[in-house]
Order: sequence, then C-alpha cells, then structure tokens
Amino acid sequence: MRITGWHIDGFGVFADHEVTAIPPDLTVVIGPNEAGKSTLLDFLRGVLFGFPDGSGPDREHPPLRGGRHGGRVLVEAGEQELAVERHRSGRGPVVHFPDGTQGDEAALDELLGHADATLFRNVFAFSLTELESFGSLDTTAVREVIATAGIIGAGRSPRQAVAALDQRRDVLWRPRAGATEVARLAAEVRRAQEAVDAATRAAEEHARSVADEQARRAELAHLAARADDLRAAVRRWATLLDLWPDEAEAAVARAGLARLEEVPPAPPNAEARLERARSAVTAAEVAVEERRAELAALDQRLVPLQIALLPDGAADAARALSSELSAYRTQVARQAEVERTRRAAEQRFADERARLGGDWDVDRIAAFTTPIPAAEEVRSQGQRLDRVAERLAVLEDELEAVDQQVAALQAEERRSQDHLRRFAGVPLAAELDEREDLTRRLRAVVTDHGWASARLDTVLRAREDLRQTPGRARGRTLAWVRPALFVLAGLLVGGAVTAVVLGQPVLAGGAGLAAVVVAVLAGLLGPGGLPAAARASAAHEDASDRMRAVSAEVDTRQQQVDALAAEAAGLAGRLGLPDLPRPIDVEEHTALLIRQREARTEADRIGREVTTTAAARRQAERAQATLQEDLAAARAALAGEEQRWERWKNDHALPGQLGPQGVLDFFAAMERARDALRQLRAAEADAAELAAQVAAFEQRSRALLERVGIPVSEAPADLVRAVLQLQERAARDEVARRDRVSVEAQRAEAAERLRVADQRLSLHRASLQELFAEVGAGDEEGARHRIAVARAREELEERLAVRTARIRARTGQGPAADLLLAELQRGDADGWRAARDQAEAELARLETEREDAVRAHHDAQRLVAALEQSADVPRAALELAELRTELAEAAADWRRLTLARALILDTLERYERERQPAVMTRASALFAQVTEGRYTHVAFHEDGLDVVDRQGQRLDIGVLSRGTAEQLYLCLRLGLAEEFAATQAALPLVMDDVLVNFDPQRALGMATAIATVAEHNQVMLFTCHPHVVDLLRTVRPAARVVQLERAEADPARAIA
Amino acid sequence: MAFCFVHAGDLHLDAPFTGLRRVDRQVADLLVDASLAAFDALVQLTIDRGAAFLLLAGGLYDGPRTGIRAQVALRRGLERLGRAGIATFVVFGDRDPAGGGWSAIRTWPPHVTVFGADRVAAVTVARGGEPIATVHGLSHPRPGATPNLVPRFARTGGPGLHIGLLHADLDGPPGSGASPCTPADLRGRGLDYWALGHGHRARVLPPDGDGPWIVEPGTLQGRGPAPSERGPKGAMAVTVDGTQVSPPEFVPLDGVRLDTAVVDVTPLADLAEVAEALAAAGRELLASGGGRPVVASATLVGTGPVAAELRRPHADRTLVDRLREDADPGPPLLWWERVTDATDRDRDLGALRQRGDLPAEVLAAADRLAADPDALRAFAAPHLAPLGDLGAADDPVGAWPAVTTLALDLLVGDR
Repeated sequence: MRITGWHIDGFGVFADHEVTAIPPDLTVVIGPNEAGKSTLLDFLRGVLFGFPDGSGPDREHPPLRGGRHGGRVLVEAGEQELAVERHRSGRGPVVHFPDGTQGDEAALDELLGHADATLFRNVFAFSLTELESFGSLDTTAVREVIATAGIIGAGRSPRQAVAALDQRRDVLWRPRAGATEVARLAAEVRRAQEAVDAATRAAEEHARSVADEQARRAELAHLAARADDLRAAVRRWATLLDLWPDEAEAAVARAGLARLEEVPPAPPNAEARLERARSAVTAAEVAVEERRAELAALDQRLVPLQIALLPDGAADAARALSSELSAYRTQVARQAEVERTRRAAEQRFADERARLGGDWDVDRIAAFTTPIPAAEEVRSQGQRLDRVAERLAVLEDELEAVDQQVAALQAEERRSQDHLRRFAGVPLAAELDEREDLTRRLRAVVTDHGWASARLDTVLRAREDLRQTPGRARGRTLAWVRPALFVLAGLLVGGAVTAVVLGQPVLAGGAGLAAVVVAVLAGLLGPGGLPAAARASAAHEDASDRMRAVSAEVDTRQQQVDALAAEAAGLAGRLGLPDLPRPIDVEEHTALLIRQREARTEADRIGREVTTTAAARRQAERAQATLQEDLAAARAALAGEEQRWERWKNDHALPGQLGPQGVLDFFAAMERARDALRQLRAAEADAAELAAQVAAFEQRSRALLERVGIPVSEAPADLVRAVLQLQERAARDEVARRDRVSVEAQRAEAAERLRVADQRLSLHRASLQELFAEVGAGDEEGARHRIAVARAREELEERLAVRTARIRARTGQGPAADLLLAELQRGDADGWRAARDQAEAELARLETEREDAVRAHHDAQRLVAALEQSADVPRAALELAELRTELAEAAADWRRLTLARALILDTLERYERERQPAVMTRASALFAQVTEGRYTHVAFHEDGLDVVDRQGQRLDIGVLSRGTAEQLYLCLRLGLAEEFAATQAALPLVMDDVLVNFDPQRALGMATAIATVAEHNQVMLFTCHPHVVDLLRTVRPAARVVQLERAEADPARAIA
Repeated sequence: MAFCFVHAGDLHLDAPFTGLRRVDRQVADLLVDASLAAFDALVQLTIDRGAAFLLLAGGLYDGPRTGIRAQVALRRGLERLGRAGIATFVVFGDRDPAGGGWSAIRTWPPHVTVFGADRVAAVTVARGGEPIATVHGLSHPRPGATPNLVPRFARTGGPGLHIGLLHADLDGPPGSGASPCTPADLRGRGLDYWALGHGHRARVLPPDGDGPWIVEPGTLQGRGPAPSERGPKGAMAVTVDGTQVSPPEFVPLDGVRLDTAVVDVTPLADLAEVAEALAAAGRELLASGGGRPVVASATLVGTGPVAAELRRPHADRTLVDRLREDADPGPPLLWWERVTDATDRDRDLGALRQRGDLPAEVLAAADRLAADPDALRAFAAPHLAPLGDLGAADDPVGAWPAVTTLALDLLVGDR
C-alpha cells in the first residue's frame, strides 16, 4: 500500500487542504516551522489508525480554520485507487473502493497488513523526537521493538505480558519462597491432614475402645465378685464367733449322753401304760370263765330240733326255680319272634352281597377290612394323580409361551442383522483410526508445504531482485553474506532435526548435508577465509557469490518443498486423495471420516444389540429346552403315578377298572354288606341264646323234681305244674327250719362272746408283752429300769437339740452349712477372729481397687460415647477438602499462568530467531553504507546491542555519538520496514526531520540509504531545511517536493 | 393389597464435601451435619408415608475413616423405623465396610435385614398375614472392585412384588469395578423392580413392555461441584397396588442444597449490575431449595462491556465477597461459594490468524500443540516440573484453551 495524496477537511492549521499525485518512491515535504509538518504527520497517522481520544499526551489538532475534524488519505493498493476517510466525530474509518462500495475497519486492517497504531508509529511514521525516544529505550526494549515489530498489539508488549504473568505467578508460587499462596495453602493442607489423621486414628480406635470398655466392665464385675467373696468370708468368721457359746453348751450335752446306757427311747406314757395293761389282763381272765358256762346251756336246747323235710338245698333251689318261672314262660313265648328277626337279617345280607358281585362269599366279606389309612391312601393317590396332571398342563402352557418368545427374539435378531448389513461397507474402527491419523499427518504436511512454498517464493523473489539490481548487490560487502549463510545453515540444521523428529530420514539427511555445505561456504567467506588477491576482486565476485548462495538456498527450499510434496503424495495416495491435495480436500476428507466414524459407532451399537438379542434368544432357547425336559419328566411322573395306582389296587385285591373315587364307593358298599352280616350273626346268636336258656331251665327243674320225688312229663305246662307243687312243699319246710336256726343263732352268739373274751384276754396279754418289747425288756422289772434310763437321755438330748437348732438357725442347711458346722466344732475361735480381721482388711483394699476400676470404666464409657458423638472427622475432613480445593485452584492458576508465559516466550524466541537475521542483515548493510564502512555489523548479544567496526571490534552502542546512534536506529527502522514489506505489506515510511543531527557526509550517506529503500518502499520525508531537500534530490533527482507554507499563507503549494 | 415403600441409596453418612472453597463456621456446621440431617429426613419420610419397608441400596457409610457418629445415627434411625414397625433392607456397595468397621453396630436391630455377599437371599414381606413383596438382595463382598452381580439374581416363587436390591454401576464401563451392568442385564432376571444404588444422579427407567422398573434414587446429599452432586437430592417413594408399580415419586431430602446458576452478562453494564443479577439468581435458588440452606455457585456467560472487567485478576472473588456481604442472613441461609467467568472474548480468531504478527504466531503455536496432545504434554512438563506433584496434577490438555485465551488476552487485549 502506498499514499497517493490526502484531503484534509479540517485538522489543526489545515482546512480543505488537498495534495495528490504523491509518487510511489520518494517525496520530500518541506515547510518552515509552524507550516504544519508535524500536524500532517499526525493527520496521516490519525486517518489510518485513529485519532487520539484526548486521554493521552498526543495532540488532537482541532480545526483552527474550520472544516470537519478529519479528512481522507488517498492510497493505492495493488491496482486499485482507494480513499480512507476518518473524522473525529465519525464512528470509524470508511474505505472507499473504486466501484463505489465502502469498507469498514476490517477492510482498513486488511489494507494495512494488520499493522496497528503502535507499530506504525514505531517503525513507519515518526518524528525526530520519537526517533530520539526510540534511542532512549533500554536494550531489551530496543531489541524487542526491532525484533518483534509485528508483535506489538494495542495493549502490552510480549515482555510486559510476561512481566504481568510473572507478577501474578510470584504471588502464587515461586521456588524457595515461603510466603507464596501455594506454600501457605500447602502448609495449611499438611496441618489439616494431620488433624484428619488424628481424628481418623481416634475413630479407628473405636473398636478397640469398645473392647477396652467391655474389658473394664468385666474387670469391675470380677472385683465385685471378689468383694462379695470377702464379705461372705467376714460374715462366716463372724458367724462362727457368734455360734461358739451354743456349740460349747452342745458339747457338754453330747458328753452326758455318751456316759448313759444306750436304750431305745421310752414311749411318752410308758409308766401309765404298764399299770393299765396289768389290770386289764386280770379282768379278761374272769370274763372267759363266765361265757363258757352260757354255751353249755344252749347246746342242751338244740338237741330236739334236729328234724328235716327236704334234702338240704332243695328248698332254696325250689324257690329259685319259682322265681325264674315267669321268665321261663316269657322265653318260650319270645322264641318265635326271634326266629323272624333272624330270617329278615339273612335276607338283607343276601341283598348286599348280591350288590358286591358273585365272587364275594361270606368268608371273604367277613375277612375284608377297609382301614381308614387305606382310604386316605386312595385319596392321597388321587390328589397326586391330579397334581401331576395339573403340572403337566401348566408346563404345556409355559412351553407354548417360551416357544413364542424364542420366535420373537429370532425375528428381532434377524431384523438387527439385516440392519447391520446396511453398514457392511463402513470401515472398521482400527482402519478409521489409521485413516484419521494419516489425515492428521497429511494436514500437517500440507500446512508445512504451504509454509515451505511461501519461503521458497520469498527466496525466489530475492534471487530475482539480485538479477535485476546487480549494482546494488555489488555495493554490499561479504560481511552481509556470511551471517546470512550461517543463519541458513542453522535453519537447515533445524529442518534436519525436525525431519528426524517427524520420521523423514531422507529429508533430514538432505537438510543436514545442505547445512554442512552452507556452513563451509560461510567459513570460507570469513575475514581470513579469502586470500588478499581475491579480496581485490571481491566487489565483482560479491554479486556472484550472493547469487550462488541465494541459488543454493533456493535449491534447498525447493528440496524441502519437493520432499513435503512427496510425503503429502504418499499420505494422500494412502487416503485416495490427489497427490498434492488442497487444504479443502483434506477438510472434506476429514468430514467424510467423521461421517464414517458416526456410521461405525452406529454399526457397533447395532452389533451390540445383535449380541444382546442373541444372548436373550439363547437364554430363551435354554429355557425352552428346560421346559421340554420338565414336560417329559411330568409325563413320566403321571405314568408312574398311574402304574403305582394299579399296583396298589392289585395289592389290595380291588377290581382293576376302578378309579380312586370308584374304590371309595366300593369301600362304602362293602361296609354296608359287612353291617348286614353282623346283624344276621347277631340274630342267630340271639335265637341260640334263647334256646339255651329254655333248655337250661328245663334241665335244672327236671333234676330237682326227680331229686325230691315229684314226677313230671316232657310238656312245658306239666313242668310248670310240678314246679308250683314243689314250691308249696318248700314253704312248709321253711317254718321248721326257722326255729332251729333261732336256737342255733343264740348258741352262735354265746360262742362268739366266749371267743371275744378269749381274744380280749390275749390282746391284753399281748399289749403287756408289746410294752416290754418297746423298752427292750424281757419282763416287767426290766421294763421299769429301761424306762428310767430313757427319760434321762431325753433330757440331755433336748438340751443338745436346742443348741443345735440355734446353730442351724444361723447356718442353715446344705453342704456349706455342714462345712461351717465342721469348722465350728473345731473350736478355733482365735483363728476365726484373726481370719475375720484379715478378710476385712483385704475387703477395704479391694474396695479401693474397685473404685479405681469404676473410674476407669467410666472413662472408657465416656471415650466410647465421645467417639460416637464426635464430628471431628467430618469437620476436619471438610476443612481439608476445602484447603485442597483452594490449593489445587492456586496450583491450577499457577500452571495456567506458567504455560501462558511459556507459550508467549517460546513463540517470541522463535519469532525473534526467525525475524532478527533478515532485519539485522538489512540494517547492518544500511548502517555500513551510511558510515562508509566504519561500522560493518549491528548485532545483538546476550545483554544488549553491539556494533562491529571495520576492525571486527564489537562496541556497545553506548559509546556511539547521538547522531551515530540515531543513524543506527533509522537504519534499523528501514530494515524493519523492508522485513514487514516482505512478510506482511509494504507501508509508506513517513519521517519528520530525522536528518538534522547528521553531519553532511553521514547525511548524504543516510539520504542515499533512504533513496535506496525508496526504490521499493514509499518514503515521505518532512523537513524544514532546504539543504535536506537538495541532498535528497541529489541522490534521487526524481523525488517530488511538496511545499508547505506557514499558517497565514496558503498552507500547500506544490512545486515540481 | 396396596402399599408403599421407600428406596434410597448412597447415604455416604459423614463423607466429606469436596471441591468447595473455605466456608465460614455457620456454613461448615451445616455441611458437617448435612448427610445426617438428610438421613433423619429419610427416616421421617418413611414413617410419614406409612411405608411397608425401606430399601437402602448400598453406599451407607464409607468406614471408620469418616468417623463413628454416622454409625450411631444410622443405628438410631433404623431403631426408630423398627419401633414404627417398618422393616429395613440393606445391601452393601463398593465402599461400605462389609465385615468389620461397624464397631458401633455390633448387631443390627432385629427388623433390619442385611443381605450377605455369598448368595442372593430372598425375604418375603407380609401385611396382615398376606405376602405383599419379596426382596432379593446381594451385597458386595468387600470394599473395592466387584464384577457384575446381576446374573446371580433370579425370580423365585411366591406372590406379590419381586424387588432386586443391589449396588451396581448402571451402564458403567465393564472395568468400572462396582458391579457394572446394563439395563438388558437387569431386564432378563424376571423381577418387577430394581432398587439400585451407585449413581449420584437420580434416574428412572420405566418398564420396557412387561419388564421391571429400573430405579436409581441418587445420593441423599450432594457433596461437591460435579453436576451429579448438584440440585435436589433425595429418595424415591414408590406406591404399589398388588404387583402394579406406580411411577416412583422423587422426594428431595438433602440437608443442604448445592446448586448453580448461569447468568448472561451481555446486557449488563457493569459489575454492580452483575452482582444484582447474581443476587436475583441466588433468590431463585433459595426459592427452589424449599427452605433448605443453599450453597450456590454461578457461571457468567455472554459477552459485552462487563466481560473485560471480569477478566481483571480476582474480579470473581470480589464479586463473591460482595454477594456474601449483601446476602440475607436467613434462614434459609444462602452461601455464595464461587462465581466462574466463562464470558466470551468476542475475538475474531480467524482474522487474528491472518495477521502474521506475534499474537498470530502464539495462536498458531497454541493450535499446533492443541492438535498434538503428546507434544503439548512434552512442552508443558519442564515448565510445570518445579511445582512438583502439584505441577503434574492435571493434564495440561484440559487447561490449554484457557492458557491460550490468557496469552491472547495479554497480547491482544479486548476489541
């Protein structure tokens, strides 16, 4: 882009001011002070990059002569004539295109090669003041401005950006600094972690604490038991001491008893009983004699009554027959009725038997039994048969359902497989992965190829320039070529390393070989590398050498482009793309891969559905097979149950054709037949019993009648008459017998009284002997002695019993009491007292120990309760988690800041590395030209900027004079402008009186340099010095001069 | 017979909240007790609904490392249910202490059925002597990885609803270790309702034909900034008529609600208006919390004049401080946890790439590294190494867009 003119509507001293036909090379704008040169510079910068908003030091230049604040700059870009218009009050710039269309700020940005206001001010449009301020920048800033002219944005420089990042990073964390946010948070995290660990350890001790509490509870119980034992011992010793007086008394009684004769105890009233027995024996002997006399008198009265009428027993038998006579008559009369009953029963039995069938005779019916268990078996068998049949039906239903499920799943599986076949052509995932990888690599190679092609074009343009301007090349020294070759060698080495990393050994080898060749060439071009004779012809050979070097670089670039094209062709061929695909081809292929990836994902999903459905189908088929097996088993079970039923019927001799219910009906019929049989047999037994009773009565009657001599016939009526006759004879006999019985009764009573008197005498005598026996004596004297001894023993035993009872009342019964008594009888009272005192002391000690155990148990209980109520763990864990979150966020912030810093610095370093050589080479050549070879190089070192003089000495720029330093900075700007033109866009250089501090020789040199630059980069130089105009027209006679007048005159007048 | 049961899981009693920045003491007290309050609410819900039983599908307690009082709270809650005549069925998951670790619950209350890990057990629940449901349950054998346990389940005989109770990673990857399974696995077992636990987000899969309900109630109390932990958390109340299951009703029970709002700053002029918009969003979150304390976060989106202000260092923290100062003290309490700036830079990256200057080079370099994660990691490693483990805490690939944006912010500034 270049400026062809401007029209100022109103800006400072300018109003409706227009200049046109500004040439593409050099223009000198001359005017006296206050003519508006600086204002014009600000106008050009303002229209192209925006007017100052008044907040900074830059002047706003309000219109002093009217007109709208702003105007337009006429420019040429490519083959187009454009106008950029901007007014202070407008919304922004307007780009007017030749076809009448308009563009906005974006169009202007494009037009200006994306340069911003700062870049334009630093490099392209500057005043002497700004040139000087450029010189006052520190070395780093200068380096940055020079090397990163295209870097500077609207805000910060990259160094400022990195400084801002460092400031924020250092607050977060920096090595070996303890007061950073991360270090502080890390320390807090460690403290919180320790708190969590402590709380967690305590919580994890809960189980042990619970066990400890239980152990202490058990210990407490043990101590309590032990105390109880001791208290029991104290009580035992105290009891022994209390009982000891009673035991002493009892011992005296036991000694008295031991001295007395052992006799059995005497009955309580032995003495009285002895006296009563002696008197009773004497009285009984008198009574016996009186009864014997009474019996002899009655024997004399009985002799005349010894007469009898009937044989003994006949009278009683006759009365018995008479009493049975009425029954006999009834029995004779019942015999006919009994016979009718028997015949009816016989008929019913015949009927029931007929219902059972002909095979059933009386014995089989009588022998047949139908126990309840058999009927239950029949019912159970019937239920089993029903259940088996029911399960068979259920299984048949389930099998039908599973058959339908299998068919449905098979259909679904077929549908899914059909669907899946539609994706048959979709590549597999591995193939897609490979193709995606190839595509990524192809994209990178295509991009690299584009970059390499651009670099090749740049080198080709440089070679073309050399061919077209051989004179200019001759004017330069070999010093320009040598560093360029070293840089080229470095680039080639870098390319070789990159190729190795990318797995391109051939390309790496080629680049490496080229690097060696270029390096050797650079070495040969060194200060001592050329003979002195050759140095004389260097001016002629210089151009040839540069051409060769550039041609070699062209070859190298071409090889890189070819290698990348070959690699791209190889990758594209594997992807089925053209040999050197365009980026759009790669993107379309990427889109195709995305569609194929989506199709593959869908196919895989359907494949999983097929697998799932097949698994379900196989499961259903397994269920189908299982049901078929269950069905066969159920059918076999039904057959088995039926066979078992048949066997059961055979075993119970039942008709084969009967089912369970038929058998139960058969059992009922059989029971009725058996009941009829029982009734028949009962009727027959009744008839037989009646006949036997009649026969028995007749037999007894006829025998008695024959015994007493009364004749009788066979007829029952005659038998009745004879029996009545016998009854009358028995009545007469009874009276005589009653009298004899009366006397005999009196005699029996007298005999009884004699027997009683004898018995009483014997009893009294026995009582006396019994008393003798009770006291262990053989006679009455012995008895009286033993009773006296027994009474003495009784008195001692009572005393012993009283004491023993008192002791037992304290001791109770049982083995423990027996042991206590045994101890008591030992009589060691002093020993007992000592033992009691010892036990009481032990008990006191144990109570103390128990109180300690109670406290320990309470402590353990409190510890367990505290753990169970404690929120220490969740509270500490919450704090730890919060601190970890803040630490992680702080660390993430630091990482983000650090990576942003690294990204900027890494890019900046590479940017500097790639841009510096070209800028510095161009600046060095211009500076050498301006200083007529006094200084041959401008170079950066680690800490600053150096110049190298013709003796090869490196000098810090601090030693340069102001004018020389300004010449250096001006050369650097010219180099930057050329580099910007090579990489971005050619922008016009606008300089305001920058030559005034130069001596005439250096001013000429600088004018020559500016004229050289102006050959391919528009230059507009403002000055108030006519000699500067002359100087420039000397070196560039075709330069146009634009005259500005002071404000009071017409500010612009063009002169040819 | 109609009845109701309650299904919950992933109580994680007293398990810590993660991912939150420090809170003040009042909020910390609420957070510390939140899971226990949620469990108390679960017990009360079960009683209030007259439920026949409560199902706890694992994730009850992460072991003694989270403290003992959680066990005590669990035991008391279960005893309270027992006194109300309500049975509880429990299975253990991949984080419950299966064997030891229950030192405060040496024996489970008699109305509680804890299913073992050796085999699937089936327990029939009856009402009025009539069986209404059979619960089939299986615990994980131990904390840690467990393969898919679903194939071990099968329907047994018996009337009523058949429920499978299991802690399982539904749709989890095969190697996830927490009994990963698929809905197809579950549908093939012949049960009527799958009561699952593991996922912290509630999920209900209605029956596919005559298949079972597959239900995950989610966690009882959200515990962090992850999406699955935010929003209402609670349990499912399920009504059954015979074997007919009505759609489960999700009942929020969380003790503290963790929730987030998204605020578009495009129409806002300055940070004061942003604060007002956030305060309004906070009031909406409180209203949706149903009276619960709310721990809120917000994400700012959109673009506009205020976006540049938000990019100043600590602008987010300043906003949070102001919101906390201006918040109504409650109850219910609203605690602003953080505000995240996700506003758009409104930057034309396409034009930036064309400029050929350093920002364009930075963007190109960032694009190249973003396209090659291994190269990005190799690039980042030496720069992050000085910070040790914290330097390598995250994959730089995830943070790379933010890194690129930050670098461009500093180099280019806003438009």
